[in-house]
Amino acid sequence: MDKILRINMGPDGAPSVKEEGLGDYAGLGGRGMTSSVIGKEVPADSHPLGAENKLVISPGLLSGTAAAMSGRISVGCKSPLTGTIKESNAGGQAAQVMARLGYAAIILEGKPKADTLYKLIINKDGVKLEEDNSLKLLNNYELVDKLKEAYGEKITCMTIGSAGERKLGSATIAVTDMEVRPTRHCGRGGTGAVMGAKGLKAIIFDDSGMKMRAPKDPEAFKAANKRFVEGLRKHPVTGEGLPAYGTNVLTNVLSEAGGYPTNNFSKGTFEGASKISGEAQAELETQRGGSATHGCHRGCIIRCSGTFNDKNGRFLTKQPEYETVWAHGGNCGIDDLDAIAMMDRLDDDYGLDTIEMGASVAVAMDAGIAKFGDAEAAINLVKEVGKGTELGRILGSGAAVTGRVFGVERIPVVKGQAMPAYDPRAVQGIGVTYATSTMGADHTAGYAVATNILKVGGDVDPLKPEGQVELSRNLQVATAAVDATGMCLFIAFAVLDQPDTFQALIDMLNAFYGLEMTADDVSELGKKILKEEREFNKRAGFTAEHDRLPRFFITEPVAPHNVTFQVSDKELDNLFNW
Amino acid sequence: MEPFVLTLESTDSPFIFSLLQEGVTVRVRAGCSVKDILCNDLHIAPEYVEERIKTVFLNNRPVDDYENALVREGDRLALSAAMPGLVGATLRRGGVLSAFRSSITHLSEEQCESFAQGEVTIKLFNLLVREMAAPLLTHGIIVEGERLCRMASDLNIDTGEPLDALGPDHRVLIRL
Repeated sequence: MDKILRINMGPDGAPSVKEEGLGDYAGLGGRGMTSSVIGKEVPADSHPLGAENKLVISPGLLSGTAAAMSGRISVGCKSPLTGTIKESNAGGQAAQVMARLGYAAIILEGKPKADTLYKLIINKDGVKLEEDNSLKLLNNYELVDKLKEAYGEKITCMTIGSAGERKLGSATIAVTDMEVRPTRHCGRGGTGAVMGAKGLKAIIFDDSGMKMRAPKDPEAFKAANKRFVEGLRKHPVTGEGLPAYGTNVLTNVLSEAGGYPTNNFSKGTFEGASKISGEAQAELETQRGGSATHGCHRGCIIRCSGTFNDKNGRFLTKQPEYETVWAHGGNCGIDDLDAIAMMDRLDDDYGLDTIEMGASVAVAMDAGIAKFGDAEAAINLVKEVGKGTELGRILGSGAAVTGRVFGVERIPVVKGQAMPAYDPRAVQGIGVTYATSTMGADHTAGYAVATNILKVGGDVDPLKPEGQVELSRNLQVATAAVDATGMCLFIAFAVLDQPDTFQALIDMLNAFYGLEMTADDVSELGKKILKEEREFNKRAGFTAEHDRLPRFFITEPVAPHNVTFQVSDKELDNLFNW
Repeated sequence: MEPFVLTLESTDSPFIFSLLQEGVTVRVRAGCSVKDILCNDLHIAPEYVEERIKTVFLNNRPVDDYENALVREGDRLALSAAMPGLVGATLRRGGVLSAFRSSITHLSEEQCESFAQGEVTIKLFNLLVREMAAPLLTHGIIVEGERLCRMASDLNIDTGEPLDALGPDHRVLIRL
């Protein structure tokens, strides 16, 4: 991972492809790399779909090694959905394969002058960028099948569906999984639209003949990885709960807590929660010959995914995640797992963010376009996006656009990005993260990494309400650092409770790169990333006024607790004062 | 009206797991703490309660201090193992992130001096469904007859001839 592939799609004649050394970007990976390149090279006031914006793809620092759970790939750009800097990451095979092929980043820049589609092929023999207009408007499943026919079954793909080509704000970049299915997505912020604007339909990786990346100190690395794996396996969340039920294990719990946004955030509990819970989903998947326990990439030991078969036992989609089940389920008043799985399949196929798409459908339902609970109508609304109709283009542009077009007051977005599956009135701390994240409303921006282990900004008294801003700050710092490693954020649960597992992660980084980092250095890395992102957003015109939740969270109490969001603007403005 | 009694030979049934997930009625000493009910009424080992039941809700409110959270007649108690995600960790009993949901946290009360037999609803989620099915069914769970028949029908399960005679107001005591 000692080179950068830089592709300019704009020159007259043909795009230019060149390889270069890491230069100023040495030692960076994942979100650290993407945010640094965007911060340095993209004018903050550029148009996200214009030639000045860049799309940066980067595996994490430990991707392509034997480190367990190191399969996250980051994609960064200026977001067409939010106008902010964006990092969106996904599982699947791409991080491991791209890292083994030696690339720390692929940077796409410029804009093709003609309406030509390209595909990028990267293998041990080099890089080829080829025109291929036969791929136009193919959706992800058919596209990947066609690429497999051409390049074999051992490839890994990053692709856009029709939503990306149409440059919709909800468009994703799909990443293929171990079965070479386009089920993993850099979902948030419209990264697929930027890839579409660059005229790139697919990246095809083949790492045949390439070796795993070798650590500087193999013995110390092996020992640290072993401790890390043991820590994950012994923890009840990473070792039992997630493998058994996946992330959808949260549905029952959030609904019971009154923090499950239902019918477009109009109430906090969903009567149909038990019908679409992780427990019910796992039972159904097993009954139909699917699987409730499956990894999304090689080297995953948590295996929180699964296989969802239809009523006839045929593969329909991967196990829908909690956020997807919520977005297309409870948030739309739908308690039918088959309908939710169908929408997950359609989203993956067209290349759409399931959170944004579900939020758009719910806002449309609030506007009376369909009734809450009408699963068939919801499926048809998603299909409108696939058809590229005017209604579909509105819905596919995100919840904020949908709400404005249809005159809805209750639009659950921050900086233009839809909120995920936790009501910030019930769980106010996550509201702080939604409001202040550099990415727009994002549940992964401040994750459960051990704040009192990292001690970023000092110890926090967990029983004081005023601790919420400090907690959110610490979590955002820690998350930015984890996003740079290529590690799945789900390691956070074991790291939270087990200091030795956190130390094992640091030891792995040190052994691999020959470093002597401490927990403080990890915190500094996270802070550096957040500062770069924050500076970009400031230059793009974002101020404290954008670090706010929509007004209805302050004026509308939500049942069953009848609470509103109560963290003051002054407190929110304090978050980045460290 | 005394409940109709249904005796099971095993807990290993999706039917039972669905009932426990949606919630069942149990007879306990109302006015006791969550911990007291779990350990002394339902005879669940204190070590299990401490180590395994990491997320507790009393009437939708996350509980931190389960030794001083009192369960009264008609209350609803929901129990879960440790949960993933930022919010999952936030809801955990006594976790470092509990400040994130301080506006909905259950507040501890003064202990009652007298206890009376009463009915409360208990819900079990995720890993606890299978693990706590046996102690709950040994104690006995009560379900409305209409709901039992509907669920059996939904899951295509033959509950046997005795349940055919149940009226809409009947309740069924299910136990091992």
